[in-house]
Amino acid sequence: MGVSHRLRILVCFLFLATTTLPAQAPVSTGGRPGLLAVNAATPTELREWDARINQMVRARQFVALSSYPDPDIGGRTHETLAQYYQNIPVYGGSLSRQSAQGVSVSIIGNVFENISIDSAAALSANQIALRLAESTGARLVGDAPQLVIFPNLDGAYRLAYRATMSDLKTYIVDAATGSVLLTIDEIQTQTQIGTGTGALGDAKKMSTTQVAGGFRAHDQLRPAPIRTFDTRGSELALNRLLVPPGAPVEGDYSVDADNTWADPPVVDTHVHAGWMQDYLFKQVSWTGIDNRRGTITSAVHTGLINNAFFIAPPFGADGGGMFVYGRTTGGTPMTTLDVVAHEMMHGVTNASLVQRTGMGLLGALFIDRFGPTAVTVGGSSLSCDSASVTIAGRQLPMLCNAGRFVLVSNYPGAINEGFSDIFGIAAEFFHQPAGTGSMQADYKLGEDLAGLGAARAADAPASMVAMPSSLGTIPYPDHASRAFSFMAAIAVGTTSNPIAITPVPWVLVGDQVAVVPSADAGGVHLNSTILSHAFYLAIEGGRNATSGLTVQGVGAANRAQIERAFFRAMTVIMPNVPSMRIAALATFQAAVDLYGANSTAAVAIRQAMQAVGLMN
Amino acid sequence: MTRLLNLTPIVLIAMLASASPAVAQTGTVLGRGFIVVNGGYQVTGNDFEKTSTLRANAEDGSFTSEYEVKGGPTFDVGGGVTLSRRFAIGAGLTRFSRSTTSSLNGSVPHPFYFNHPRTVTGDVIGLSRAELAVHVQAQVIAPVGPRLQFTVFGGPSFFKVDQELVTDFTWVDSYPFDEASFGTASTLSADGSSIGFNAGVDVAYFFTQRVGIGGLFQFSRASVEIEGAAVSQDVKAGGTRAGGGLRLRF
Repeated sequence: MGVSHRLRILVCFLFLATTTLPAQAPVSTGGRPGLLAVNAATPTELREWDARINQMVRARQFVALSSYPDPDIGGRTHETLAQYYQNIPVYGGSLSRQSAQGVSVSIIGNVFENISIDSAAALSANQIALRLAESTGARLVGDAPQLVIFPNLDGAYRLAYRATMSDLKTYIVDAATGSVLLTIDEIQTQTQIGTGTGALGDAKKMSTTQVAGGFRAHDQLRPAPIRTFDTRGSELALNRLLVPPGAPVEGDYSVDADNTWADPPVVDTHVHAGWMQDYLFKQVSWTGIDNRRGTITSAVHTGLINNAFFIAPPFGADGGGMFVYGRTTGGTPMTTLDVVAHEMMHGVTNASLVQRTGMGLLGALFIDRFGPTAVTVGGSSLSCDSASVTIAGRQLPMLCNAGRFVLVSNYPGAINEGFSDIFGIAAEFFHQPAGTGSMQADYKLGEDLAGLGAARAADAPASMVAMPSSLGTIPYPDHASRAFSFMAAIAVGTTSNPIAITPVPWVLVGDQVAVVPSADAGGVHLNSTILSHAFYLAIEGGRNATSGLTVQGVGAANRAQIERAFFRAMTVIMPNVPSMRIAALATFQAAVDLYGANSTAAVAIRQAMQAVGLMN
Repeated sequence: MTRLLNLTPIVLIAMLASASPAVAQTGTVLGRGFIVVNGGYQVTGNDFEKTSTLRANAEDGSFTSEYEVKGGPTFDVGGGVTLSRRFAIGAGLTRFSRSTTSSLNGSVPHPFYFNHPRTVTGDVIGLSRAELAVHVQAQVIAPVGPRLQFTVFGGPSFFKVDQELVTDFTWVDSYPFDEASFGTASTLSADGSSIGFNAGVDVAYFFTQRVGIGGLFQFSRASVEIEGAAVSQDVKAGGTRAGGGLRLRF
């Protein structure tokens, strides 16, 4: 069976990320037929796309979801349009158009072309919900399953349902067969590995609420209230809060008798959540997580080890999302300022995308490239067509393209993590003096976790070990060319009929396969350093070790310009399923919007994105 | 302090009552009494400042009130008795009262951050200030002809000061609480007394043997600790005063 036929029914949402995207022109991604990544900025392009969009709006192929004034620039308006096909939303199809006095300034996003399928679903929403409940053991939360047009890798489309279940996952399910096409983990994690002891012993102020008999970690002074729950190691309590309706009880609150708090996880979480809210408000004019004063809820003493995560609505306390913090194996609370700010930025990312597009930053695997036909694993040569991998006790065939290994990455996930790292760092610089000591601001993430050390370094990504592997340690990438690409296996289906794929913890190094401990959901943390390194270069300047390109940064005194540009890129411009290049272009566009094309900030960002291989 | 005030009129009355007429060649009546009534102006200001601590937002703050006690009108009355052609003893009572302004400069702790105080400034107007002084004077009299008389005097002074002090204040702030503005002030009256001194010169011109007018230049000073409820403050009282008025002798 030909490659094209095998891939035609591949149901995972894949893009070719290796496509070179001219900085100022609408381009097709090429490798994914039918997908058009739009980035129109010149008058000619804008005119063409305006006409095209207007035509599609009249034809009900695009629907305006929202239109709102620019928070930073007077007279600017942002319009978000979602793609529809016969009144059914197209998964990942969205455009963000900003205009000044009615004239378009930029148009960025994804358009899926040549959709032609039967929009009548064989299975009903109820049937899908029942099937999912049977297969997952979870129950439906939120709305009934919604029909979507789901793009296949080869340009074909599939009618599917999108349903979110109480197991903290969202499923894309084939409306004809009931097969799960894509599973999206709603938990966005911040993983830390290591050991440590105690908290840092610094004195902080707690904004609390007095109640009968004591005080509650409930900050009602800030525009978005902050409450910190203590699940006291109870998995039952944590699940009750996580799973809709997530109804909290009185006993969930962290409390103290005399308002002199001596529980470091509670103190750090509660205070740092406030500090991050302050940062967002003062530096980037954003209120709370959702910019709508929604309550910010965190949970500590969760029993979580070496991890912290954000879970988006409808999960979390009162269905409003939640930040969940654990501790290291050494007992150190994973609640340092940068970690808390990192998680909260996940919340901001999700909220802003949902408000603009109806969905968050969607996890999706991009095809990076096609590898060799055979690789060496542990000294043995494996050809793609005959290779398989055992995952969770199941032997899965490898995904091949013309006999070549298909290498994939989850770039939206890496962008999500990268932006969270960036604003974890930014919050540090806002609140702490610059330096390398404890409670001092630097470009590392998690460096204050006692006994554990930094997880990533935006200033020198390659100085940190990303993962051990069978071929030795592999550093974090500082350039797109060094991005982690994982081989993919067919999770559902066969080699001739691949339905769903999963990244495999196999990384290609030369013609050998380095076996790594985890595929990191497609490299979401591993590849995040490409963007965070660009952020560093745009501020501090310097030379990218891989490309050799030098960046003239704006200087530490002007870091706010870069932070605002990155923030605007995520909250105003970023489409649902961006590639790294789209993320880079969105950031550059944001800098142009704020400061002008020839501004120091815009030039620094362009140079930084070029230095890390994300812009030409 | 209270006892002193109560005694003052008695002393004056006693001095006046004991005066016996003995007219000197110069016009000075030996052994007789005299009375002076003056309106005047206290030139010297007695500005002072007080720094207080406050506790807010789980942190200590402070505020400094700078009290602008400008000079102002005074009224005094006094009298005495001549002991010889050149010497007399006397006593006087001076009253000074005016409304003062306090410039408040506060450092208010931030609700979220240690060591991030907000500066609050404001003026508290209408604070009352009153000084009552009893001056006991030894006087040296220098008559110049039958009508004109110079007198140099000096002696201890008993001061009582009443001062309204700012004890606390409110401020107005809102998120992100990086700035705060002055709201209202709480005040209380503090008082105290002390002994100081006075010295000066008086020039009198008598139209008749008993009635004249005169001018006065006096400096008086005392350091007074005023106290209120849990509040105390050292202030200066008195100062340079000039005035003029009626001179009577009998």
